[in-house]
Amino acid sequence: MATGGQIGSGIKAGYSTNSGSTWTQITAILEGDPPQFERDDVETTVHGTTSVRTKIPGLSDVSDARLLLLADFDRGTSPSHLALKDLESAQTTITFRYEIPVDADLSTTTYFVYQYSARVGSWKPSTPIDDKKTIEVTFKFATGSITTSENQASAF
Amino acid sequence: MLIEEKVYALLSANAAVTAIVPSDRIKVPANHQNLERPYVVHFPVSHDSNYTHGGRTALKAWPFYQVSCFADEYSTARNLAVAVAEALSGNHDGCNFFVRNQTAMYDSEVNVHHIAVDFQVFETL
Repeated sequence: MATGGQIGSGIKAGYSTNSGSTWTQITAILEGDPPQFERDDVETTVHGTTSVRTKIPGLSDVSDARLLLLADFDRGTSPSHLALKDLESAQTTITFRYEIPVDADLSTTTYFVYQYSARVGSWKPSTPIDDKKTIEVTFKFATGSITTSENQASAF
Repeated sequence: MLIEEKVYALLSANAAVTAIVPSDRIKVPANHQNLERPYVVHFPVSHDSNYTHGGRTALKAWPFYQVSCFADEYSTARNLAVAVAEALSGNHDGCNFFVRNQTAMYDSEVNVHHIAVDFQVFETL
C-alpha cells in the first residue's frame, strides 16, 4: 500500500548467536542500509559479423550492511551496543536480521526481511563535541546465502 | 522540566549573575518595557528533534537559545553577558551549553544597551 510513497522510518535489526533460536535487537538505530548485490558481467563475445558484445551473469558481490546507532556505552541500558564490539573482536559468526517495515506506520507488524550469516566487520564510535555520540557498525556476509522474505512478522 | 526553567535555575543560582541582576529580573519574553534595568530575557529560538527508527529520542537539541542582557550602560550589559556565558557554558546535569555568538546592540531612543548571547544546547530534561 505504498503507491503514494513512504518514509523509511521503522526499520529493525538484530542478531542471533544460536542460529535464530533467540534474537537480540539492536536498539536506537539512526540510519540503516541493507546489503546490496552487484553482479559481475562475464563477456562471451565471439568473433563474427556483429559489433555488439555479449555477456553472461558472473558472480555477485555482497556489500556490507550498515547501521548507525545513537550510542549508549552502558550495557545496562543498551546491551547490544557493546555486545557488537565484543562480536567484532571475536569475529563470531552470527545470524544477522534486517527488517524493513512494509508500511511506514510504526505500529506495523509486517516486514521485508533480510537474514543471513554474518560477522561484525567494524564497530566505530564517533564523539563530536557538539553533536550526538554515534556508533557505526557494519556486518559482512559470512557464508551460505542471503534470504529475503516478504510480509514477515518481526523477530524482535 | 522545561529548558527555560533550567536556564532560570542556573542563572538565578549563579552569584556572579545575581550580583549584577536580581533573580526576579531574569525573565522569559513578555512586555518588559517598564522593568527596571538591568534585566535578562531568555528563550529558545529554534528546536531540533532527534529520532531513531524506534521513535523520538530523549536527547533534545536547541540550535539557538538566546539570552538577552539589557542595561543602561554598555559596561553593565557587557559584564552581565560575560557572567551569563560563564554561568551556562559546559555541562549541567546532562544539559550542555555551547556559546555560539554574541551581538551588541544599542537603542538610542530609549537609551538601552542590549547584548544577546546565543547558545547551542543539548539536553535530556
